[in-house]
Amino acid sequence: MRITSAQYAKSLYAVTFEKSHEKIDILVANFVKVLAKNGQLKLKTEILRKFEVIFNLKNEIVVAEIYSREKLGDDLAEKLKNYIKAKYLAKEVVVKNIIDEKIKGGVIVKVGDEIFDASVQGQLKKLKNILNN
Amino acid sequence: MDELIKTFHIEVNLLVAQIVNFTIVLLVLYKFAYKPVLKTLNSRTDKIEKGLSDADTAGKKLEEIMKKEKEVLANAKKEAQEIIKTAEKQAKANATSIVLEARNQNEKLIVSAKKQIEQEKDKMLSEVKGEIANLVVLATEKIIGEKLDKEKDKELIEKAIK
Repeated sequence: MRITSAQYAKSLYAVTFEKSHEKIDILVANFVKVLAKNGQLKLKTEILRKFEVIFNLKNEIVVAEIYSREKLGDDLAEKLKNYIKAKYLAKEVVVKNIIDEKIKGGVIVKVGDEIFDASVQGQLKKLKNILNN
Repeated sequence: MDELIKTFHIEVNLLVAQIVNFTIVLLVLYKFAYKPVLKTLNSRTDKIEKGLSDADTAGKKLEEIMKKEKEVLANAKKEAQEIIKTAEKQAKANATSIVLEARNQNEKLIVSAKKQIEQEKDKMLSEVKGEIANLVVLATEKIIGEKLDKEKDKELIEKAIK
């Protein structure tokens, strides 16, 4: 039976949990060897993605993609981080600021499958829908 | 008797001879004249009687035929009248049904036309609404694009997360 990427990710998290950096380096190297031996190296991206999800879940870390028209200033980024931290009861928030001029202002915050749209583009869409109905 | 014979000068022998002669003549006549004539007469009588009877029968038959002819004619007339009546009735019914059908068709057409007009109206309204919405959004977008500077954008974001 072939091992799935989710099973690999869970195993990797279990073996590296609370280990030192040096130890983790060795463990990861061994893990890659096992993948190569099983001929499943192509799963590495998927495994890393799932590992990140497990790691963040266990450590109460929230990864948020924030779309804005221009790069967010430190002050505003911090406010947004605090907002997300409070909303998702997270210990830590990792922010990925993505510049998208098409949103024309405001922000779109994506956390997992959840989207909080406070962009000008989103408001215009809502306005259009209201006018059409 | 003798007296009678004397009075009329009858000779018995002669009388007997005459009787014999007469009988012979009578027999011959009976055999060769009376019988064939009687046969011919009988035959004629039969023929005439048959002819009369035939004529009578023919007359009766003719009468019967005429009577039947009258009956047939009367029946035919009656049937023809009935057929005409039925045809008239049918024609009336058909006319009524045609009128009803035409009325129904007409009503259906009116309903359909009304529906179509309503749909067209809705479609047009929806298109107009869409156009207006597009124009409003475009205008708003333009105004926001011109007015929304960095500071106002920041304010907008802060307001959203409050």
